[in-house]
Order: sequence, then C-alpha cells, then structure tokens
Amino acid sequence: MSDFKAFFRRIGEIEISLSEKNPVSAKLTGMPQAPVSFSVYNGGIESSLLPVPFVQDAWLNRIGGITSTLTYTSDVTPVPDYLEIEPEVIWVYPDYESWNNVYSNTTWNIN
Amino acid sequence: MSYASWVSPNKVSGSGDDTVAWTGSPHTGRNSRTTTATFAASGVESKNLTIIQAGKSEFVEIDDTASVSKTGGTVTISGTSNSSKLTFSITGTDNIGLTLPATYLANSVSTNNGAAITGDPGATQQYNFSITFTGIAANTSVNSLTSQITVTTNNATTDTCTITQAAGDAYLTISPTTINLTAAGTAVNVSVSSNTSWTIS
Repeated sequence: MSDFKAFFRRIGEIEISLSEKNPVSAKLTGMPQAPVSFSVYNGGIESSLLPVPFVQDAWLNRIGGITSTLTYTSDVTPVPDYLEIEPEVIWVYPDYESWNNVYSNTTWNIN
Repeated sequence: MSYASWVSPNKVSGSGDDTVAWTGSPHTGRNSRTTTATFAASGVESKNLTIIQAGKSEFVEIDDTASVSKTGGTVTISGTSNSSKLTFSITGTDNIGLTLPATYLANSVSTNNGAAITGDPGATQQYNFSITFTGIAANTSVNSLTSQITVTTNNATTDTCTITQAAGDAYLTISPTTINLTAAGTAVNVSVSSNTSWTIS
C-alpha cells in the first residue's frame, strides 16, 4: 500500500490513509488559515499538485467549515486485488483457538 | 457454508489483512477429520484452508456400579466407547454367578462379544453400548453378593463395573417340628435349614 500524505502547509501535516484504488476519498479535519496550498506526496516524493476542485474545496473549507471531503485521483497504477492465506493447513482443538492469516487488499469471505 | 459444522471461525468475512481464529468442537472418534474452508474475494482466485482435527485416543467407559435385586432377574450395564471392538469378561470372584451373554448392543446393533463392530462407528464418533445379564438367581444368603465385569477395547484399554446383588432374606426352618422321645431318652434328630446363625433356647 502506498503512503499518501496531504499537507496543510500553514497548520501542519494531516495524514490520510489511501488505498491503491481510484477514486480515493479522504476527510481532512481542521481549520486552515488563508492562504493555503496543498500538495500530495506519494512515498515522500511530491507526486503532483492537487486538482483544482480540491483547492476550491479547501477555500470553502477556510471560509465556512471545519471539515471537507476531498477527492483525489491517484496517478499510481492500482495494484490488482490479491488474496493469500497462511498457513494453508491448520489443526483445530476444542480447548483453544488456531489461527490463520489473511493477506488481501480487498474484501473477502469464508465459505 | 462449505466447511464442516464442527469447526467455527471467529469471523466469516473481512477486508484487507486480517487473522482468523478457528475452534473445533470436541471430536470423540478415533480417526482425525478434515474439512476445507474457502476464502473468496471478487475477481481473485479463491484460497482453500485445510482444517484438521485429531482423533480421540481409544477409550471405553462403563458404569462403575450396577445393582441386582435380591430376587435376581436381569441387570444391564451401559457405557460409551470409540473402539472397533469390545470384549466383556467376568473378572475376579463371581459371587453372583453371572452368565456372560454371547451378544451385546453396540450403537444399537446386536454384536457378538469380542467381534468387530459393524461399520466401526467409533472411527468417526463415540457410540453407546449396553450388555444385559439375564437369569440371575435370587440371593439366598443374608450377605450381599458382588461380581465384576471388565470391558476391554481393541487396544487393551479396560474399564470395570462392580455388580452388587442385595442380601437375601434370612430364613430358619426345622423338621420335624415335633419329636417324641422314648423313656430311655434315645436321641432324635431335628434338621435345621437356615442361611443365618441361630440358637436354641
């Protein structure tokens, strides 16, 4: 999973967790002081300036609100969904639990 | 649900990385059992988890005690086991004088003593058994009587049951009840029949 961070440069860093999927929604909480600018970093490297709607949302946020929902379309190629389990064989007992790990980037179910 | 009902996960769905805890219900059969749980997500290949539960060691449990009335009759002893065969025997001193039956009930099926049980139900789960002793005579003594039954599994595991027959009623009879002595005082015998101690007064 990539590490995305959004910055309010005047008030500090707000970290948002984004999956590799598009689109990504993130909620920034706080009251930025004008003027504000935003950048999006991918793994510590500035990826791109935010799209215009994002900045507009931010200005609206500065004026009248304390929260805003921002939508950003990542330029990172989405990672395909995956599902792995480990181990693939377990022994179970009545008196205590056995465990298996699930590694996935999507929703899953057990049948 | 495709995995067996004897196993339970602490969750049946999730999102992203996670850990699933599994618990098995008690297994009484001798053989291990296996089931498969399928982890599925849209657009990706499903993954199968093989779940195994070990079998229970061969065992037999029989009633510790059983009682027979003083008048005799029948007595049935019950128990549970997962063995492939059971052998019953009368062990120790048999005060009651039991007659070992040729057959007993294993999983509700008549089975010859010491023979393999049809279908080997103990391989998958424990079963109930019972053996009935018939024709037990009345206890004519004033003491209780005991006998011991031992059941032995295929791998020589054993358990025992002590059968106790209640004490019989005391009795005292004499015959004849009237005797005539000669002038010479010749002795005359009187027979005493009793199952307890007695005195003459």
